[in-house]
Amino acid sequence: MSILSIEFIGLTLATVIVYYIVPLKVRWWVLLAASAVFYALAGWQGCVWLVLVAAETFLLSLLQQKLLGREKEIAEKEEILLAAKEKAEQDPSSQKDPETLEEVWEFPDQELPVLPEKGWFSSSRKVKKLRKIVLAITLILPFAAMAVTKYYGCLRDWISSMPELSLILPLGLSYFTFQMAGYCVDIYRGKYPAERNPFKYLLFASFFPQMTQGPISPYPQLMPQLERGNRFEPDNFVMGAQLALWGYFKKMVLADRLAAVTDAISTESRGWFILLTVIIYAIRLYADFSGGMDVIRGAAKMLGIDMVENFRRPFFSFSVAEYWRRWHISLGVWFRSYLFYPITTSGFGLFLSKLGRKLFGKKAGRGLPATVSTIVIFFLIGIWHTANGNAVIFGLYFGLVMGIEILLEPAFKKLKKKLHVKEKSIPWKIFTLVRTWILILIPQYFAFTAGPETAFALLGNTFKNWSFENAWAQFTTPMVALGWYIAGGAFLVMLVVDIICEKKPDLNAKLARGPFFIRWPLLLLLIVAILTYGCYGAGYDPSAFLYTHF
Amino acid sequence: MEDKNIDLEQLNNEETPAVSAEAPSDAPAKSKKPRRRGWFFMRLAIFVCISLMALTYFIYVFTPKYPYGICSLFNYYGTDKSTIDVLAVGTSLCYTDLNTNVLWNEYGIACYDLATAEQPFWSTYYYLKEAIRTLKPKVLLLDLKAISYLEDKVDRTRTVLCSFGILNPISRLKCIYECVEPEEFLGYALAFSQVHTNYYKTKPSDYVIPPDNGGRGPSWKGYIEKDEHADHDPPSINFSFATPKYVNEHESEYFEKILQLCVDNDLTVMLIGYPNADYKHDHLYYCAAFEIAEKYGITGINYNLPQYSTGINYHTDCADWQHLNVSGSVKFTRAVGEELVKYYDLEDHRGDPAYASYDECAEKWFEKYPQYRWSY
Repeated sequence: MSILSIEFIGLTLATVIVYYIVPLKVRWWVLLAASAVFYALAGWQGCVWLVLVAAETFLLSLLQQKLLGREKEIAEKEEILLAAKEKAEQDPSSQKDPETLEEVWEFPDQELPVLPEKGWFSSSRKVKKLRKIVLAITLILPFAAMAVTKYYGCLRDWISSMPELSLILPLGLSYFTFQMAGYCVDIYRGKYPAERNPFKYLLFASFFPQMTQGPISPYPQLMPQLERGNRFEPDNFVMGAQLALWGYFKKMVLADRLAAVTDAISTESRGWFILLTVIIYAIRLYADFSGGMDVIRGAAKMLGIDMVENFRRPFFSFSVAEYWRRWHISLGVWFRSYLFYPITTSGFGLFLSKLGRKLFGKKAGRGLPATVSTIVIFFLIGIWHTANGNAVIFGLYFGLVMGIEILLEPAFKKLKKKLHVKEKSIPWKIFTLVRTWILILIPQYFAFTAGPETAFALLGNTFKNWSFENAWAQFTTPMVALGWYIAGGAFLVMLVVDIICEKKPDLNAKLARGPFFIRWPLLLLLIVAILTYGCYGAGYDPSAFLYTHF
Repeated sequence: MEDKNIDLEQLNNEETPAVSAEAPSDAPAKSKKPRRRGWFFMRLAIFVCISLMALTYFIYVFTPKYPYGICSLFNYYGTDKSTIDVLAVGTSLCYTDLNTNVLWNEYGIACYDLATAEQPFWSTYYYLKEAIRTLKPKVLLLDLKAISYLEDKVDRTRTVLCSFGILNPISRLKCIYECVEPEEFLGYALAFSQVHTNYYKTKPSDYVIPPDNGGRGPSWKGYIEKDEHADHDPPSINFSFATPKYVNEHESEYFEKILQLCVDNDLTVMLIGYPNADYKHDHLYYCAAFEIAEKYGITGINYNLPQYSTGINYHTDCADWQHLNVSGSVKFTRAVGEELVKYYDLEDHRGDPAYASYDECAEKWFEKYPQYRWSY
């Protein structure tokens, strides 16, 4: 079920009504029921998949929790035994064998802790090892299943001897897999206790607004809001509705209109038009993804649930690193929390740090683990999108750019100091903004083309044939003039709103609490604009959200 | 647009949940809630009403104002119902062949063509139901053409869009439901998805209620002239009885429903087989229709049969393969007028100030086509 469909809107509104009618304590059941309906409508196979993954992660997380408790218990015993041992060793007058701890045991009312000599529970280290194995099993199963479903087709393209399988890609597969995996790692790390109610856990895993394209919500952020049962709050309802409408506007009026231009890209086009199309693709992708996100967050907000922000106006970034901190935030945070930090702090990370210091000096060398981790993570982000050559280039490009940025940071700082660059000056800001834009635009060639050959051909042709003769004809080939005017108007509206939001991020709340004679006309205008200029209805595929496929 | 942002980075580094499970977010200010919520729901209801009104208006704006589409029904609502003696319902054959101006000018018969292009019987049924809510015409002329339609549903968007002219929402939805496949119903019922792409075609006149009926003005009575000319042979009277033809069940079901509706409302019905150069394919269907109607004690005239002379010359009086042109419509209407005068007790309303709109409509039309003015 697409979040653009009338079914989704109907389900959301029905959920909102029922949710606020039933008693507070059972409201989370309404969310679970709505999620079940949503997922069942998307296909029973996906539903079964989700339940299986949820059951596996739920049970193994409970086991993990139990093991963690045992580990702590054993660690405490080990500490006591160690203290007793030390005490016995430190007492030279004692003729007693320090190994015979019972004899130096000072607390007669307490028994000396006993640990088994062999087995997994003989030491806390062994339990930790066991927990690691349990975590690995917990994660391997869903990730392996996800990899097979997502990449089997691509693999078969390379190895034609592999048998043909018609695997169904469940809706939101990677989003719920990542979300549950994050939960499992957090339980392993002992960040919070494991959920004991399987139905509540299932709700966390399947909360319906986020199933199509995220965000990947952390358990401590989402679960308390889901289970507590929110009271009806007019401001929440209005803000949610406004946010959802804004999302529909971005997706239906702007992103889908621009699709006609980006889908018609050809290597035969003139250089300036190829460049324009790539810029348009970047805008389309942003409007599409962030629009969908706003709809999701708006739907949740109407239920009184704040979902994590996934976009923070990424095109206002002054560096590629900042861009990635503003673009698909929840995915970036997930990779940072569960891959970047573990890699950099692992033994391998420490080895890299030493190696870096040897190769690049003290300051720059320190950044080598971060550089390598970044490259690995962006490679994974690339192939997360899809397993083809373009995705690998896309990921590696960003990884390398950011890796170099980390490695050369000390050198850049020195250079800036020498050149007396004022970082807060407007020319410098414009320079860094344009530089970031250029660095971001290059990989877009690989994001929307079928293969590296086309992407490189387009990239090469961008610098050829910059003739502006009959330019208007070039414009109106993929889209009629009126389409350009509408898309241009919608883009300007989005730009203005984003500029305002950059300064005052609570625009939605301000509008919701503002006077009705301002809010009503604006909302009416938005509704009419969406319904009139939006791309939907006959001949339009409502499931065509770019990020739904990932 | 943004609302309160959640810092995910910070959250991931925190040990404790960011949102407390125990404390509902809206715990304070409890006493203010009931009043505030009541006021909120009232405002919400007002906003929803205003939005619905605005959207309904825009649906009207974007719906194509085909004279053969929603215009005839929209205009019907605006006509003084007490002045309509003869109501003709049916397909495009009805609005191109039955010239209301000639009926008025030559016989003083007040007739209205409530017809739309390719109108199936289920649409006719809901049109008729809507029409007789406020009017009981003395004679109802029912076009038989739809009996020859073979499809269970309508495959042309414009035919479905005609039902947007029905103001009664229940009748409109029922009519749409009969027209389209179930999976398409919601799209048509909510209307915007079907008409919104017409925004680039809208003219200033599309924003005006009622529509200007293709420049014919509000006094128009539903007749649409066709100026084209196509040379045809008269319909073959060598009908092929060898090939059996089955009437579509959906059409026949609604044909019977129409007849029952007329019986229940004491309407005098005259079935009409409009002259059609392509008639030979329809003959058996028309025969089946007359057979069905007989059960209800209803009859009519099939003007395609050789015994009914209309004076139509198919070589000069056709606009295309099915419709008559202006000259043909004048000849045919005169034949119908004769029958109406002969068999039904219809008053001559010429000169009656209550019927001034008929004068106005006819005058306008005869100004354009003076050669067809009454010349007895």
